[in-house]
Amino acid sequence: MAELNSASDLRFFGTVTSSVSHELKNVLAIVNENAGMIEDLLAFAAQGRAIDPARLLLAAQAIKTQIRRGDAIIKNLNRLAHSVDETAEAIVVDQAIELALGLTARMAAMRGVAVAMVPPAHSVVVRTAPFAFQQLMWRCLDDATACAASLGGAIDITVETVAHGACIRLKGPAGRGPDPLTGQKDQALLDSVGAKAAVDPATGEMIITLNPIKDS
Amino acid sequence: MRVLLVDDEEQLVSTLAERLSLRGIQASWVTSGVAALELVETETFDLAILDVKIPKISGLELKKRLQALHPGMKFIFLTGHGSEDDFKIGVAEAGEDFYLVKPVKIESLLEKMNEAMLQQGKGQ
Repeated sequence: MAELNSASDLRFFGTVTSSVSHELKNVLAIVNENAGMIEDLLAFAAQGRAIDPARLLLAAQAIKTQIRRGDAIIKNLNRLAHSVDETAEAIVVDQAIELALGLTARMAAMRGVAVAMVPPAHSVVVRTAPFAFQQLMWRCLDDATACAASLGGAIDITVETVAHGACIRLKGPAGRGPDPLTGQKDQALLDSVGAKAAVDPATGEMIITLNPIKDS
Repeated sequence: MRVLLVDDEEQLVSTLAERLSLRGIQASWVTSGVAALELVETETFDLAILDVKIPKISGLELKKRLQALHPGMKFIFLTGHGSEDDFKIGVAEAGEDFYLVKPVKIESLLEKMNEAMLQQGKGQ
């Protein structure tokens, strides 16, 4: 298993688990209220008051919906946890982006930004560092949603095969600032996944070119 | 008692409002700070129950804006965010007694609501 030994890796894991735990708290809170509603209605029934079975059904269905939601959240966290199992492997890029979108959903919602990926015609497979790729996507989506929140607009993501790798485009509102991934740590992150990143300020598009990496 | 609930989770806030209504409390709910500020332009509330983390306007910022419009309004915070920093900020704003972590027992919430209504400006 790859060693998780850098401060930035730990910060990323901490950020994600904090977000996930917050969302799971909300899931539990909704289950709590709907279970309480069922108890309230049954208490009324015990007092001889008429209750609406449809309302009971709504509460039960709400609980089941939240169970599905919680299960999806935990599945995503589990996938992220297992992304450190290998230092490098062939990943399905669009599926990895779907995972990143799941992990960043709450962040985007808090900023009021809709983020969606257009599914590619064919799955795009590239050999890369899976955990570092998730870290890179989080970094890019954090920047993109923050820009979109201030400028107003949504983020559309496309991915396609290019040469031996992949090209990922995050298109947001025009007028955003320059490439955010220019620091030393950002460059190290890009290098670890075999990626280059650039921003077209005229179109507001962040372009990530992903090339296959060799096992270290 | 007229209560305003604000939380971006509609399933949560609507059900909680309904349960409070079953107990004879007039409860209205919205899912954003913007909607809360719009609602208080035409309706008055004795108490607001706010989620700390809501989109665009934080619960703490919303409290300040609501308080400026209605200085007598009391506040309780609900949060699913259990970080130490958030707790310290929330307690500083609302007082430890009025900062509750989700999921909450409705009996505990009702107790806090009555205490908040009896409070005279302390931590509010």
